[in-house]
Amino acid sequence: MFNLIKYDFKSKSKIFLTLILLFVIENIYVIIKSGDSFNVNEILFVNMIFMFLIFVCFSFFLNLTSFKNHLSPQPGYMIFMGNISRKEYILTKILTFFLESFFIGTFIVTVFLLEMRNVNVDVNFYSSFFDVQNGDISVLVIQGFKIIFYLSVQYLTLITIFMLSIIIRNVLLKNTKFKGIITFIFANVLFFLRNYLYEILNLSFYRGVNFRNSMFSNISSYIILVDVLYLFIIVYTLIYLMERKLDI
Amino acid sequence: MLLEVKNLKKGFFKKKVLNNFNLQLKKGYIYGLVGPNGSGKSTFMKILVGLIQKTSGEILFQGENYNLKTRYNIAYQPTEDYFYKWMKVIDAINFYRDFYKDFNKEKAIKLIGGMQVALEEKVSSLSTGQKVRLKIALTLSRDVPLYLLDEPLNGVDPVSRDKIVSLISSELNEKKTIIISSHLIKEFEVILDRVLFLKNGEILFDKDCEELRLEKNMSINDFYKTIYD
Repeated sequence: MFNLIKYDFKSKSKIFLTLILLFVIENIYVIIKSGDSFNVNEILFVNMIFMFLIFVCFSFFLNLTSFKNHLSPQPGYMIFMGNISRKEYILTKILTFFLESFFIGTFIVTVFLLEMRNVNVDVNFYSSFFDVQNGDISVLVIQGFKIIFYLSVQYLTLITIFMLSIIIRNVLLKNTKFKGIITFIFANVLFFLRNYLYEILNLSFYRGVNFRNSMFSNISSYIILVDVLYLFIIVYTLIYLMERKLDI
Repeated sequence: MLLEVKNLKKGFFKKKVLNNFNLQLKKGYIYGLVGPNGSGKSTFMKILVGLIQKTSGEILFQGENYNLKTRYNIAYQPTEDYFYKWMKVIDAINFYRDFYKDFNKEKAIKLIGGMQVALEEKVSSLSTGQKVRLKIALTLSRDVPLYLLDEPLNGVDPVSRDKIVSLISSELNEKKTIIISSHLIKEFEVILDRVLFLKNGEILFDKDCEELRLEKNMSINDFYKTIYD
C-alpha cells in the first residue's frame, strides 16, 4: 500500500508542487495586501478560486487521469502484474484521495483563518462563517474539521462516481462509439441520483429545509452517514468490476 | 507438474481468443509458444499474471488453484511499453525492488550494465532493443519458478536479437521454467526444449524439439511455415 501511494505521488509530484508554490505566492500577496486594501470578501474570493484550482486541477482531474492511465498497459501492467490485488489498489486509491483532500482542505482553511486574523476580523465572524452560536475556539475547530471531513467525503463520492464510470466504459463500452459521452452521462446520472437521495432524505428528516441552502448548518452525523453509505456501494461495485470483469 | 491449464476459455465480446486451451508445463524446461498474430499467445500469458480475466477454465500452479499468491510466482515480460513515463532506468529497477520481494537489484544492475544502458537514462529515450533488454533483465532478475517472455524480439534489429537470446540462455538453469512466445522461431530454436503450436486459441500440439526435428527431418522454423502457410 505504501509503495503504491509513493509511486502515485511521484508521478504527479511536479504538478502538485507547482500548485502549492502558486498557492503560497497567492497567500503571500494576500497577506501583504490585507493590511492595505483587501477586505474579507476579497480574501474569501481569491482563496475560493485557488481552492477550486487545486481541487479541480490537482485532486480531481489529475487523479482521474492517473486512474484512467492505470487501466491501460502503460503503466497499468507495471502495477497489476505484481502482488497488488485490485481490491488493495482501489482501497489505497480511496485512502489517498481522502487524505489528499483532507490535507488540502485543512491547509486552505488554516491559511484562510490566519489571513482573517491579519485583517482583524473578530471571533463573531468565524462563528457566523462556521454557523456556531458559541465563538469558543475549540467549538470552531471541531466545526471546521467537521466541514473539512464532510467536504472530503463529498469529494470522494464524486471522484469514485467518475472512477466507476471509467471502469464501466472499459468493461462494457470498449468497442462502442461515443463511449466518452456515454461515460460522462452515466457519471452525471449517478451524481444526480446521489443528490436526489439527499433531497428525499433531507426533506424527510429536516422537514422541508432545503439542503443546498443549509449545506454548512446541517452537517449532521446522519448526512455524513448517508454519504459514507453511498460511497460504500460505489466502492463495492468498483472492486467487484475491477476484480471480476476488467481486463487491463 | 509446474502448471496445468484445463479448458481455458477467453472471449472478447463475440470473438473467442482462447478456446479449450489445455496445457501442462514441467519444471526446468524452456517452452516456445508459437503461432501467428492473434492466435492467443499474449492473452494466455496475460491471464496467467492476472492482467486479463478468464471466461472459464481451471489453472493449477504447483498443484494449487490459481490465486494472488501463486500469481506472485510468475514473472512476466509484456511486449508493450509499461513503465511510467517519468521513469529513468534506475527508477524502473527501484520499482521492481519495491514491489517484488524476490527481485535481485544487484543482478539487474549487472545485466543492464552489460547492455550499455546508463542507469540515469530515461526509459522513454531508450531504443526499442534497449527497452526490450531492460524489460528482460528486470524480469529475469526475479527469482521465481516461471518466467513468461512475450514476443521478446518484436521490433528488435538482428544484432540486438542475438544479444537478447544470449541473455536469456545465460540465465537458464534446471529450477527455472521459461515460456517464450514468438512468431520469430528461428532465433530461439537453439535454446528451446519443447515447442507448443497455437492456432485459433487452441494448442495444436506440444512436442519435444529434438524429436520433432528428427521426426519431420526439418528445422522447427521450417515446420512452423508448413503449419501456418
